[in-house]
Amino acid sequence: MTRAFSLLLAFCCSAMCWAAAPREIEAEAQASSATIYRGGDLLIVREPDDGRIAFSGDAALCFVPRGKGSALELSFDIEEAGIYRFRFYAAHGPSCGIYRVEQDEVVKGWYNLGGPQVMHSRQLPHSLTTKRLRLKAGENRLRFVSEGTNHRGGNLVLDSLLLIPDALPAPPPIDEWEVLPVAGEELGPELLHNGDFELFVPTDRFREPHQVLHRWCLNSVPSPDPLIVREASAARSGEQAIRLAPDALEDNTILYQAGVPVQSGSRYRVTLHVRGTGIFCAMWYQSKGAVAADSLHPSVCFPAGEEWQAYSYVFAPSVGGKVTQAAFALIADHGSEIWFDDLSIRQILNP
Amino acid sequence: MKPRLLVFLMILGSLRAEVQVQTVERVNRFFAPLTEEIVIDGDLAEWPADKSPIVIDTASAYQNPPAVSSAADSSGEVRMAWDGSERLYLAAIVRDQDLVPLKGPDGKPWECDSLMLSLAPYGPSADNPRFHAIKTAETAREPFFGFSWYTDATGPRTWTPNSTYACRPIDGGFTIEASISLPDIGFAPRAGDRIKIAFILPDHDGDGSFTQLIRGMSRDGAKAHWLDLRFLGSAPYAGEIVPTHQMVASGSPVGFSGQIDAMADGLRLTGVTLGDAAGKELVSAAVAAELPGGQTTLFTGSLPGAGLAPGRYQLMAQVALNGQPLPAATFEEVEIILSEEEGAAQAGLLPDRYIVPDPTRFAFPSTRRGYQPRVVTRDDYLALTLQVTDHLSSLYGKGREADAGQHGIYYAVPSYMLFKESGEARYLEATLGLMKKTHETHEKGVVTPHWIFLHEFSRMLLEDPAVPAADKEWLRDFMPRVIQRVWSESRPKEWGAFNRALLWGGMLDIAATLQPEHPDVAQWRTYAELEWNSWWPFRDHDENSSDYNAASMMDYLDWAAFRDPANLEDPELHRWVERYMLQVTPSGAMPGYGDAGPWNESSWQWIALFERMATITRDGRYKWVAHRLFDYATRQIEDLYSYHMVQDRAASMCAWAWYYADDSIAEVPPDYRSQVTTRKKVEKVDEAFRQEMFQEHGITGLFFRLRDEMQPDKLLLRAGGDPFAPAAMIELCSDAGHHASTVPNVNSFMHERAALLMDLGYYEQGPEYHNVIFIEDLTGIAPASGEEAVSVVSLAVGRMATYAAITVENYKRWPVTNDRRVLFTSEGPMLVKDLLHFQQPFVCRVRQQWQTRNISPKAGSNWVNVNIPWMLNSGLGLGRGVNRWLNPNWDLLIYYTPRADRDYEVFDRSLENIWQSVPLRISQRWRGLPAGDRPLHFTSLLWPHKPVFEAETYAERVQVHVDTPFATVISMELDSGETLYLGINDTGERLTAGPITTDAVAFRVSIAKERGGYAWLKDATFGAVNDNALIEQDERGDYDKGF
Repeated sequence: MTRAFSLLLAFCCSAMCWAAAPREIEAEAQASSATIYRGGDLLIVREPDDGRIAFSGDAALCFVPRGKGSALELSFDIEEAGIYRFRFYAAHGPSCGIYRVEQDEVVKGWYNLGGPQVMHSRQLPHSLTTKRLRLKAGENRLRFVSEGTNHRGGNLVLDSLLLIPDALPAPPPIDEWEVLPVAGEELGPELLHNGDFELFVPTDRFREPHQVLHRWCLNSVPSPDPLIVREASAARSGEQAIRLAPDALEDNTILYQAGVPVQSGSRYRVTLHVRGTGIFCAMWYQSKGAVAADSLHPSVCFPAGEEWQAYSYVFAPSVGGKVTQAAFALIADHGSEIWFDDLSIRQILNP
Repeated sequence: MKPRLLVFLMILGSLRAEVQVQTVERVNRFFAPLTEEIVIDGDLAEWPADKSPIVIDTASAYQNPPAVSSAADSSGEVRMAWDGSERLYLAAIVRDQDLVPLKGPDGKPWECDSLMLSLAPYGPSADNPRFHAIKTAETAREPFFGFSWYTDATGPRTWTPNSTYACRPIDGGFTIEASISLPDIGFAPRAGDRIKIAFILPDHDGDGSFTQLIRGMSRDGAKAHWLDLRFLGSAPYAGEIVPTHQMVASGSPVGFSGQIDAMADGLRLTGVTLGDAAGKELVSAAVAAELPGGQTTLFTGSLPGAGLAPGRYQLMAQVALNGQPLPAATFEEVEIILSEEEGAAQAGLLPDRYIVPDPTRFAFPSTRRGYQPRVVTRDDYLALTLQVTDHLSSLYGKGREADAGQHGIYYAVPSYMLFKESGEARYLEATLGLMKKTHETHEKGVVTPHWIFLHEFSRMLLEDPAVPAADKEWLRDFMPRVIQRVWSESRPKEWGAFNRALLWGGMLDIAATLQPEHPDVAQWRTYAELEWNSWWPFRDHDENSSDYNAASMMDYLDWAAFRDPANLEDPELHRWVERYMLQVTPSGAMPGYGDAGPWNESSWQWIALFERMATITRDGRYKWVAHRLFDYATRQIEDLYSYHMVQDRAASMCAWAWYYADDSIAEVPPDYRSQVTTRKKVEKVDEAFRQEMFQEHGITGLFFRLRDEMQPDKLLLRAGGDPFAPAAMIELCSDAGHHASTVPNVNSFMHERAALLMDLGYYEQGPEYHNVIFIEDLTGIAPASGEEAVSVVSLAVGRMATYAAITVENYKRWPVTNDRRVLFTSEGPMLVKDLLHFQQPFVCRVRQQWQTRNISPKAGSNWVNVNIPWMLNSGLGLGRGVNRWLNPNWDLLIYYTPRADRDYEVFDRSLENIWQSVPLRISQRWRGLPAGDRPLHFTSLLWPHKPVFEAETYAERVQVHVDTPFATVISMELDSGETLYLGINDTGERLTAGPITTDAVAFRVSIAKERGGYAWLKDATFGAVNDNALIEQDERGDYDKGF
């Protein structure tokens, strides 16, 4: 029993150096280059012998933060400068906390490592991977900052670490859209709020993720350029439009509106007016229980063109999901620059 | 120039005074010099030149949105002056190439070219009554105004009745000259007072572009400095001097701090004086400090207070110019009061980082002398309502035009109750105006919170013959429109006995009755029935939050009454509310718990609820408690006009309290003896039930459900109904709605009406934030265990003490059992002993911890002395709106039994979240791999006492006779001279500690200095003091009497 929980306080490894190919290293080997900010304990923990969790190298690095804001910083040497993603393998469990990973004070990801039972992240479907990082040749540092506990503890138990040279995601498949108007189609009232973006006032500006303005919510890190474009010449109608253009390190930029009252059993005409370069997508976030298989067009992607173009399609919420409302998201894909204006969602009243 | 720090030591008689002086550069400080009356015509010629006007440009201000192209495009210079009395003058030159005027008489300043000014009390002026007078402008605490460029068609914007401004065009811009009426905004400054100011300079150009320069307001924490504006008098200097405590005990030093802005060279600070109300000098401290012209000098120190009789005094600073004394009267003076309570307070001298010289701490000496319980009637509720409506006369005074948008419903209730009482038509007009505007917001897509009281309130108006028929037409549509608005926005996907589902269920139940022909009525009825059955069969809810419960209880009653008024007579319903009534302490405070403001935040809701319950049940206990809550709330709140007080809480709920109250019911004090309250068992829903609810009803949000069995809710430790008696509450409810388990948290501990321990809420959910055992898993992978199981294995209530033993299995889902033993006494001292049994040991660090705000400078190796000067509540605990409850002045000695294998920690979480009411964690710690066969134990003595600087005089009177996992005996010599022995004995054997020998499971024995005493022995066969047997018998039994 004591062996299972005994601690090996060994700081025995020199700094690691990565070349462009991904290579996994043991977190406990990074102990000697680690720095603790705002208090905490750092220990090397052996794999318990009761099979509760298995660590590569039979050990892991355990950080016990003193409180919210305590941080562990690890150092890595990189041979080739470039864009990477950082993946880490860690324990989840009731003693584990909530962390953000920062590079030069820029947040690259949030991770809740809590869970009802002790598990290794390799056992879970989602990997713990950051957004893209721009790394320089030589020493780079990443910081794990404690954002809080999960009622029992706030630990970070790192097993191994991986830096992966980045590969851009493959472009999504392109869907077909309909030309308006559709003959004989009767439509109900408008269900989307502020679909022409004219309700934004001059002081409105998306400054941070999850900020909500006139029911639109930004689900990405805001770019330096304003999302709300206040030039009549840039809008399709009125004086304002939305421009989504993800930073080179982002997969996409997402703006969504929650609480659109669409219901299972009904069909909806979705119309978007779009221009720009690259690919954009429209996606529905449906309630728990919904599945794509019995939804019609829960997600569509189209190429944008230089001129304003109307894109229209029919959406039907998941019947099995018993949907009574859903969120509607606009997504500008990696490398694109997309203007949106005059969006509409209306129920199709014909049977 | 670097700051200079000089220390002057002075000998005054036999006492030593110390003054520290520091000169600093001025940052963001500006002045309003005295001036003759200024003609407001936009011509700035009569203004003297100012070498340092307030500049607003791209270098000094930030832009939002960008971008100002040049200084010529948008920039400004502002000068301020005052007449020494009631008028603050402003002169501004605004540079703007393209002027866009005010759109109309009611136009907004941000829609045209303007200069916007904000001014507010700040620092010493924030707490000064000269800045809290009744206001005639709708300005709240931070008056805000826009001086807009205008045309003849619109004229200038209007603000307060006696304020004016004028603009004139100049080459490349325009001027602004303004005269602001200070009485209109509640300000009555004197020379030396300091307020904060800020500016926004909106700039619109003809091509539609817009930007604004902002100076003095926060932007993401950067450039967040407000600008200081100090009112100057005729003297060549101005400043302030304030006492560090508003009330100090006779004989104690009088601390002070101040600052002086010197406007000329040759000035010196020569002394600080304490004088009587007439200005006669009584005590002086000589100082010799230069006051360099153009700079600010800070000073702090203390004066000896020996020999001064209780009364009011003034602090004055003496300044000389070129060696000639200037009249002290030219300096700003501040009154102080010496406490009439002998020994009630001591001014702290050591500037320890944990010592906060907060004057509010001494505002409420904790003493019976001078305390008179307030006699409360329903008229008092209405008086508070009236006070608030008078304060908000700029809203209510508009009658039909009164507009508070969707929030109008909260303002309409007080107004209507005033109408019901007085019959004055103006109140009804305001009520209908506010309701109509609320009604209209629904058409615009705004959703009013669908409280069930909306139905009751609109029904009252519809049935009132004084309401015109034309109004009843739209009032009849009020509820259907609320329902339609809410129903069309979203559909209920949640279920359970908690706030959101409750409001959905109640609202749809009402909807189905009001609109039986509606096509969705079947869905409404189905959901309403489903939700009704989540709570009514149990007469309980699954939440455990002092705020959410307070907000929901009235709605539960409303819904029950809507279905059948006879439901309110149900005894099971009464049992449910009674639980909350008993949580109110005899002093009238309601401790916070769960997702809630940590202290007394929902007292106003509880008042209305208990008045209603008193009327329903004719049970005078509810009346008694409602009145104590009102007494405490009105006596201890720092500012009735702060967050959640007048706008949506105090006024609205006092209006309801008045409506429900029946003063023919006599107050009856509850039985304030220690007890365990219970509630229906709260159980997490399992996956099968989730599937069932989704398949049958499409419900996706469900968390807890109730069961018929009972479970413990709170351990209430009481020593009678005296408001000064000790009172504590220990949490016994594990995970529940709006509550992550904190069991067995000492949620609150009061003595002499002062809160000595309290809780933290909202985001401070983990065990590290509460008064519990905190286990840190140093491996990070310690195994989980099952759900917590809480039981009270022993509760014994004696005449002078209570002993309770609480067991928490799977403590916080560790493989650990926590046995918490509490011995609570009528004298105040409380013994808390924790035993930890590790079923699966793991390497860990364990603490027994107590949360507090201030620590006294003197501490020992195993004890600290702490106090909470005030209890802070803020929106979500994150500072989104703030209010404070002032706490009577009383201290708590935290004494850990000394242990060789322990260390101690004070952890300051202020950096983590400055809005924590108790940001300091005190703990005794153990670290290692626990043994599986022997419990770890921690023991604290919590001893409330009068504040003294020499806290060691209490610690030195504590003696630990024995402290093992199996037995603990601690004694202390009380202020009365008695020695109090507290003991817990699990051995079943006799033990001897000092003069006491007993095998009692728990005991409390006091021994008088001369002879005799009082003993309470729990489950003893034998007990003796000084070899005199008190009890000797074969069967275990209790002894509870004097000897």
